[in-house]
Amino acid sequence: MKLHFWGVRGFYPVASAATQCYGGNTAAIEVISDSGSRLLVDLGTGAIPFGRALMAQEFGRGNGHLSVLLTHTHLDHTAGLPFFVPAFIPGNKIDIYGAASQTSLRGVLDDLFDSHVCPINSLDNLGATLTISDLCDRDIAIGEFRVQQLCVPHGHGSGAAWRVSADGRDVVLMTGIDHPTGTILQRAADFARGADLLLHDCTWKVPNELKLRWGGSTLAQALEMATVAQVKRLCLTHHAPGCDDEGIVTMLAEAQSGINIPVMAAAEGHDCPI
Amino acid sequence: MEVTFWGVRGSYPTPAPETVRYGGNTSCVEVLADGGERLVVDAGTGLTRLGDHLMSRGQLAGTHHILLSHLHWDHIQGLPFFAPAYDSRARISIHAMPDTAKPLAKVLAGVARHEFFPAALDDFAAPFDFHEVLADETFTPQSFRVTAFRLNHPSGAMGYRIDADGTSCAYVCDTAPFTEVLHKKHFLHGLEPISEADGLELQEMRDGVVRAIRGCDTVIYDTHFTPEEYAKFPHYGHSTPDQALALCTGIGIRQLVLYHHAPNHNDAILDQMSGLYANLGRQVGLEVTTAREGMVLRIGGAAPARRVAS
Ligand SMILES: [Zn+2]
Ligand SMILES: [Zn+2]
Ligand SMILES: [Zn+2]
Repeated sequence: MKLHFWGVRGFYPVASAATQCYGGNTAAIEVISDSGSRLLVDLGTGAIPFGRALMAQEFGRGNGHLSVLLTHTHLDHTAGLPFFVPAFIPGNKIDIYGAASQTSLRGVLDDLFDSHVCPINSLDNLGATLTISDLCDRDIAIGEFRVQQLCVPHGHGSGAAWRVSADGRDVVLMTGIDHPTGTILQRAADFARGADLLLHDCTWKVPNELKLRWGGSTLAQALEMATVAQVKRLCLTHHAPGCDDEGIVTMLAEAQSGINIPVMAAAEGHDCPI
Repeated sequence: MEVTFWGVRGSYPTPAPETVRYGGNTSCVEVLADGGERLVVDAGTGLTRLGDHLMSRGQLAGTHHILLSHLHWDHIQGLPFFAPAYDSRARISIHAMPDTAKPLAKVLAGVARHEFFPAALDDFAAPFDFHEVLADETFTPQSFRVTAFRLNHPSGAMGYRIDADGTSCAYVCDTAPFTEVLHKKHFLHGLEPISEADGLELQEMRDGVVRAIRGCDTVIYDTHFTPEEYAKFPHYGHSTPDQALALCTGIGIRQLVLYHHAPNHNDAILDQMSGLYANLGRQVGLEVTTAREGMVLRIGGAAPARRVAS
């Protein structure tokens, strides 16, 4: 199993010469099994180039089938959907799994297409068949992947952490988790326990020092989560818009000196073997 | 008067090496009067850069006037991340066209909400106020004189003419040409036949645009498509540089700015278009400039474009 990073930025996309190494597209991470099956985690702007890449395959002919796991519905995790080309091709099937919140996931995603903000007007005008499921702390099997979900607090609602297993390996994706009391959530640590790789968001530096209002985790919380959960490797993602390439290198050095588990920083366009 | 381009991209941001020179942030333009008063047009991701710029210069406080052409994501996505919104000494005044069903404040609150953004409209330290703008109406934020006019775009859009310092510029974005399709509030699968009434309405709309922008020093225009792309997607609500040139020729305009670049128009393509349309413009007496992120244009003068000090 491996990951491919299509988008690793948090909050909003950053188009700048100073972020070309780590990339400026928002959250979209592909999980690929050894036999080549795939899942997508999140539909930020990174999903747009991913969608275009899919068109060269069966999705271009209208017989593709993709499962997508959403951590939550903030735009940095969903803004790519109205521009996700395979969704416009009749015949394609797209299954979206998310966390149950106060409002239905389908309703929220439908509002992404509302006529005020998007000329498509409604999810129903997409050519592909979309199924949208709210899960809450349930396990499912998607092809050869075993997928577990944990509802976690995020922002004013809730988000989902995902644990994906295949090829005898486990990856845990926590890219949208708040630790409201300051110390890390014990049940999230239990959920991540022993994973081969933990992806954790980390708002090391936000422009304008506004981070407290935006939710998410600190670097210290990401390191603590990796340590308490005894994961084998930690990958920092959801980089803050104000953190340029140089900043991420500095953050990574700080992380590596603070923990004796291998740490890396997710970079757009790169693979990460698990 | 000076115009700074903070975001020039249409549809969605393109943070890629192939678009670094022209820029990947979505629609946002800053208009600065000689006396230092500021008007912002559109709030795409370029607005986040303007916010950072204002913060670095200690200019967060005071009223920030933002004109919105319409509410499509690429024109509002930067709003909840605009640094002045987090400062209680600031006030944000939004000017946009009304919705037929709901007041503008309600419409925007329904968009900028917790499901989509970490901060919703009523979380901000700065108070927001909302002003509904009607076509052919003139209003005067600070010393600017702004005239709104209707454009041809799905669910509608408003263009703006801005006068200050004895000169003027116009913002014509997003719009389709005023010929093959009349955009209303519905989803278009492709071209639909236009009725006689639709044809009249299109003509009226075109006349309104020409009336408003006649004699403007500089016109910033939605030139999303090449002619080949437009032929495939005439129902998407965007224009080509050729259509912009045709509309702006012979009505006393000095300069046309190509703007709202399609996401697939990388630096190489935009270099080509820039050269091609500069030439075509010369033939009809129009100076044609291709918008780049960070570009600063002097309005009403022939001073060369420069780049914003970052
Ligand atoms: Zn996020
Ligand atoms: Zn647009
Ligand atoms: Zn639009």
